[in-house]
Amino acid sequence: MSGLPHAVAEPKRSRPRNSLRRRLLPLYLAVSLQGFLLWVPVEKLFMSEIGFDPASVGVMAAAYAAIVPIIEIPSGILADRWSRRGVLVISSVALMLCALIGGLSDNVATYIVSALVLGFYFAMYSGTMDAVVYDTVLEETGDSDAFEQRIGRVRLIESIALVASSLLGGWLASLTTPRLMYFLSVPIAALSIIAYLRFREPQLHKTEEATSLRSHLAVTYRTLAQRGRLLPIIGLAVLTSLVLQVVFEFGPLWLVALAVPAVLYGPYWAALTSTFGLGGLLAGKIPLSRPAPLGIIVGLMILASLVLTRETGVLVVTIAQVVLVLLIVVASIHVTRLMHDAVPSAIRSGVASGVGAFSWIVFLPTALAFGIVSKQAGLHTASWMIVAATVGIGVVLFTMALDGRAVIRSGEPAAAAPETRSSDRGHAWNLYGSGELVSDLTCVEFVELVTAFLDGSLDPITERRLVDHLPNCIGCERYLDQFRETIRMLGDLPAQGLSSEDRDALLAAFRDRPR
Amino acid sequence: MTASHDPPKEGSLPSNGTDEGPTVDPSRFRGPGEPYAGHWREFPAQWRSLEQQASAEEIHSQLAAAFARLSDRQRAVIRLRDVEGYRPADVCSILDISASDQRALLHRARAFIRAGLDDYLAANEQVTPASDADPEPA
Repeated sequence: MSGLPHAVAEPKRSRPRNSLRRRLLPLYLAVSLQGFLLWVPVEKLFMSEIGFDPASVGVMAAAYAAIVPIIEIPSGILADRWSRRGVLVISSVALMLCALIGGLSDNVATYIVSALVLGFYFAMYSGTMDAVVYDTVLEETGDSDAFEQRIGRVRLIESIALVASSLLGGWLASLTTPRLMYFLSVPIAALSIIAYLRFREPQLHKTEEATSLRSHLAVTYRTLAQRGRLLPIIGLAVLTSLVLQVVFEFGPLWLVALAVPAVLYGPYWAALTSTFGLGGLLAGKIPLSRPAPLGIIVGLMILASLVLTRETGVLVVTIAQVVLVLLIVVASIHVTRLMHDAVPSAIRSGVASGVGAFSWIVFLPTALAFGIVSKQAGLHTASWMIVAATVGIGVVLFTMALDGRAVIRSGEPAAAAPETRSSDRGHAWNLYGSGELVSDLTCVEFVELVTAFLDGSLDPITERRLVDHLPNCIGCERYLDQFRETIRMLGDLPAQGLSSEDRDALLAAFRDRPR
Repeated sequence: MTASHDPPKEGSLPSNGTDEGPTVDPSRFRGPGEPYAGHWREFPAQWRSLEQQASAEEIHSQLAAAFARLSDRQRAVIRLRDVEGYRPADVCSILDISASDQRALLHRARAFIRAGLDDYLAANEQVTPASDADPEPA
């Protein structure tokens, strides 16, 4: 067909970024369709129509916050063991069901069911999307450098879809009914399934040997519980999502306290949700591992949180919330990258979901406490909780930035930038660029771990440290090669010619020997 | 993994048949307090390439000599694993040992045999000093 109007541009194979973008396109489309929720802006209105009061809204939020962590981990394990795309399709189905049940609701009970289904959707989606984007970036470009930018793009699309659907939904609902917005959202969610099915899923998590569910769970758990390396990252992930959830859940209360007219809620909410997009654009552009820019960011964060403890006008409050959320989104994307850099693909979704689940578990009592404190002592007193969490984020970010520098300074003799190597080491996730987490393995340790490494019986973190060490160390690479060579030569030996000793006698002697 | 064992003679293992201590001579690594502690003092010498190697028989006799100096336990495990090609789990059940014992014995045995081959295969290599130029061994 030579008559095509614009001959589709030839794919430029020499530019991986291009093929990365094309590969992620269906994913972006699906994300935008999933984020297009016409019912969200009119939800509170609809809920009051079918009999909700503030107390039952609280129950609904609690039910929602309780189901997400329960589903999170199984959904992550499912994504790791079966298919990330499959889990995302399930999330779309849940989204359809949620809108359908919500639209059919006439009372509090059925609406809470729809909220639970929404929680199920959220658990399926979160963590899985991060993991699928990370692995796609790794598979297409060979390192994780582009991840922050790409996941930032996803956040941008999510937020554009949310803002657009909020504006459209509010307007359409005023022409028709809020209930119709639920029904209109069903086919949009269905379209996202088609988009997901057009996405080619990365296979990194499948390149490793199939393991039993039990050992998979054990490795996921051990990785999560591993102290030192992951702990500050997990702490940071939990704190950032905590502040985000609190601001999104309770942020409108500042406007309520100021008795702001209803018409301002729309632009306020649009500004708040657009921070995901803006944060996504900024992510990866601010070097959060360097003290100077980090200091500015953390200072601004704390300043913004302090504003919330004071009586001010609507504009100042909105700006403070937007700045706070924006900077925390940037920090959280950075943390997500650090976390994915530190775990292998086979357990990526599981770990991400575990961290997500933990965040929800922490959020549940925090939300209750925040509600009680603001009711008893006022919103501005409760805001000190936000300040405390923000200061905590700043402290951990600084500790990690300084730690990273310490490790680099005491680094290895040949601390060349780790190159991307896809040799026969058999583990796809060694395709890893220069993350922030520098391997601190010594050669003395390395030589004792070679057999465990070759057998694949190391835990993922240690294995990762070995793989990270290799490109930097000619000595250990040579040692590993010679070890392999030795094993090969042993394999070439004719067993009979080895020695005159009787094999059975050897084995018998082995068993008879004490201990 | 301590490096506090008495330093044996340079370049070879303390003795055969031990089940404890490091599998590579600790003096090969920079000690605590030195810059880059725990890293190679000098990289392992490169091995002669296949073409430069002596006949298969000579290699075999080297291997067999090193093999004979292993402890019974190590010899049994490495024989089953690397010579006869059993899988780890099979070796564990044949010898009735735990996976970690199996791995530890195998690792010690392999490290010992590698050191034996190293004496032989790296011995005549005076061409390249321990500096660099790093063609992958075949």
